[in-house]
Amino acid sequence: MTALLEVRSLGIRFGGLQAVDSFHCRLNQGEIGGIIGPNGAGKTTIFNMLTGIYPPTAGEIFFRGENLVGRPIHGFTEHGIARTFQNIRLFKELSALDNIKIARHMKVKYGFFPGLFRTEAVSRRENELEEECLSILERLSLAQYARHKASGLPYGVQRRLEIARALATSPELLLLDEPAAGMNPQEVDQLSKTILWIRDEFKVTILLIEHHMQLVMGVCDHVTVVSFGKLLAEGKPDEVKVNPVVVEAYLGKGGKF
Amino acid sequence: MEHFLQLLIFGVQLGVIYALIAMGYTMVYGIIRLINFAHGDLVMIGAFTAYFAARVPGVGFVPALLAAMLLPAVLSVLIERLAYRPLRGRPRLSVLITAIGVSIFLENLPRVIPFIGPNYRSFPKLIEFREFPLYGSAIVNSIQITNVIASALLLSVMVGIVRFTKSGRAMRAVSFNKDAAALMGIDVDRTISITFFIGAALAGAGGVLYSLTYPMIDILMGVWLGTKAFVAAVLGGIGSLPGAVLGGLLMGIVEVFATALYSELGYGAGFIVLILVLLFRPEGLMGKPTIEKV
Amino acid sequence: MKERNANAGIRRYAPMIGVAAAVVVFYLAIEYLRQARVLTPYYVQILMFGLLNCMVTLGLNLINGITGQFSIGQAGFVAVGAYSSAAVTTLLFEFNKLPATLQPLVFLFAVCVGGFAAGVFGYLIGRPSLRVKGDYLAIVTLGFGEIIRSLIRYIEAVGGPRGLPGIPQYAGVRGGGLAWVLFFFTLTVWFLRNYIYSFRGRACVSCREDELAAETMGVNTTTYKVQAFIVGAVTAGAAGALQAHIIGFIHPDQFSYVRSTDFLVYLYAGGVGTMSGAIIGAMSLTIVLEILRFLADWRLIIYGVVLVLMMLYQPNGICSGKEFPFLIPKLKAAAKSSKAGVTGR
Repeated sequence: MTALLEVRSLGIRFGGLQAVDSFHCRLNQGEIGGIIGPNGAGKTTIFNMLTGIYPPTAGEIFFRGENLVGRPIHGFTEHGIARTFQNIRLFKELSALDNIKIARHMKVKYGFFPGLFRTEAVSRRENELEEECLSILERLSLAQYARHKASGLPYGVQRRLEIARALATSPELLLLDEPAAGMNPQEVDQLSKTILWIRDEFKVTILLIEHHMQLVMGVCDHVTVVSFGKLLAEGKPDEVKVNPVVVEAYLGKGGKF
Repeated sequence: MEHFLQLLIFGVQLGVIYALIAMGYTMVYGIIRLINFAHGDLVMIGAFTAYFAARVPGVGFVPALLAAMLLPAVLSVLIERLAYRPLRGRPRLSVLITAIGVSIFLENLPRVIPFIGPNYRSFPKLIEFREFPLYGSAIVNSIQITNVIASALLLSVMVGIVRFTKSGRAMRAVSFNKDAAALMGIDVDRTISITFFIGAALAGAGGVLYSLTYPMIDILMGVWLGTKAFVAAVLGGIGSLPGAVLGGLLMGIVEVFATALYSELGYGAGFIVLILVLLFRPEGLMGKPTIEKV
Repeated sequence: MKERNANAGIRRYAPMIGVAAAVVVFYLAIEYLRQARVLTPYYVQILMFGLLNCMVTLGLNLINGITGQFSIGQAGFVAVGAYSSAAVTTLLFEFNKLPATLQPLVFLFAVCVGGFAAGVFGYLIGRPSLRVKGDYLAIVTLGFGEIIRSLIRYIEAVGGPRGLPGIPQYAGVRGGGLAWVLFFFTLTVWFLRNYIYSFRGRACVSCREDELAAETMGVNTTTYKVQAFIVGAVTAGAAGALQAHIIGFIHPDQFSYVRSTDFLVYLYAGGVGTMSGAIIGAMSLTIVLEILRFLADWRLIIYGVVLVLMMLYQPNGICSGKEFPFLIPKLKAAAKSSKAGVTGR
């Protein structure tokens, strides 16, 4: 069975700095993978390469058997990779609903001139779209915020909306960049359940970056540890947790999770 | 070859003027990220100040030049205080529209001032016109020499201020990061005022030198002169002081050579060069590229 | 069943029919006032120029307000439209010798050519220009506008630096030109409204809000930025074509960057990002500037001061982000859609 995502010896160099070096990982359909590592380890840089934002200077990104390296950012999305950002990047001045509508961009198709005349068919499609988007919001219990401006929503809701927006592109692979940042333990607990639910409900494979060990250990099938741009260890959460190299990188010698 | 040299001299003569004016654009842009549309009109005000100053008996080139630098400088500080400062922190486009408003005001105000009015006036000969043979048939005249020396002097003084004085250091700090500079105890408002003052003084000087070269002045002279100097600033990399000089010289030279080829081409040629440069170096010749952090 | 469909059709088109009827009534009212000599041709012409300014400003709003780019070279596109359409009616056809039945067709063709040519320039300029951003984009568009003007001065066939006289005044104020101008204005408003509230328009808005996030949502931001440039240019070109056939004389200096900044001022004074703002800004400033003509030289001085005061005390423009409801297409589910619409800031 070929993996959904297979990354081979991925590397990027910014001038003299090798930010990420020969990173690799493999994710099967329906799995949840985690990338952990200390601050500045290059985790977000890896995400940026996996979504086309930074073109890697070495390596390949195979997604459903196809190498995506060299494609534009929207090309990655077209192939079925969606993401959230560490520091929420919603379309702040727009309503939650319009945020979702923009994410459905690839799913709406009508000609330029029918669009100008707003023909019957266009109108119908726009009405359908409105319903689709409202139902996406509803599934993530965001329906009540549909007409609210994104920037005015509470922090936690914004995070959820960003996930909803990523899901609205109908991805196969969802990348979550620190989804639990700024949440309290109860919220993190809830988030774990949500992530598992999203995987089953939307039939997506998930790769996430996280600092909350509890979350990572609870939901991930597979964990990759990076430090200073290098891959330190990989494996099942339980294996990684007791790996002395990892413990040392995180807590120094003699530390314990 | 001689023809080429002659054109080059004309180009440099024009280029140093553009450089002086471009410097003000670049300084103001560097410090508050504003395309100061009113800057060109300060050039015109400088030229007219010198025009009237020279009527006073005994006032020669240097006093007239100083007067032409002082008035626009004071005016510019006033404009910043009244029109731009209250808008700090607002969307940059609001400030830009304000600058357009100020520019419309400055272009039209002299029209109703009885002793100025909309007509062309011939600029007094503040420098005695003499020609010196240079190489073959190429000649250089006293006005060209004055232009180059005066602008070299003024630019050096200005670079000296920015490099070596406390205000200059404050200027660099504010243009780098306004908030951090304020936290370090720098008086941001005062620094911005100084920047406007110096920039406008150079614009006024540019206006005088331009009027020596083309001794017909009118109240709209600043519009095109300002535009071309702005293009020069962008060409060199806006925010960069050496860039403004390089851009100014390049603009002047390109314009003169293009005009020699076909008279209607002179004006557009500078823009063509600008666009070609920006397409390959979007930050201008000596500007710093910006990197977006994700 | 059939009947219900017909009813739905009527309900669907009712607002459009209503607007069209309103435009016709407006036209007839103005014509009546003109016949009754309440309105002199001079006033009607101001109205026509106001509508043309609205068209250009609406196009500029798509580029600057909706897509978040920064173009200040709109006058260049107006020039392309004016000159290319004038070339059709003066060089290609001998307009005044055409049979009266053919004239409207040829005129329509000329306006289309004007819009199309401007659109081509919009593409040629937009495509490379979008490599630079923000203020740099502004100066590049300004530069292109001025280059276009330089080029026109270079082309002897259209009069070069002397300008082009003798264009048939087919849309002139005496020939019922108001009808043509109103027609194209209404078309512009309708098309742009439909464009902004289509998936393309939303893609443009996403470029304005956050280009990177837009890309990760699968929006090819380059495509939509260029498209906005083209659509904005076509609108300006059509307005230019009309202008040429109202006055009958065009000159390169009518299209300098000073004219471009006029449109910018209209847009920001009215309220950037909304069509209502573009229309109200362009119309009110055009009219106010005409009313103030008695002030002679004081007019522009006051204009400058008012502009500065406006930015100080009403920075969001006259409309401050509100859109007329009829400029937002109705959706079935959107019973209580927000007033600001997708473009509100």
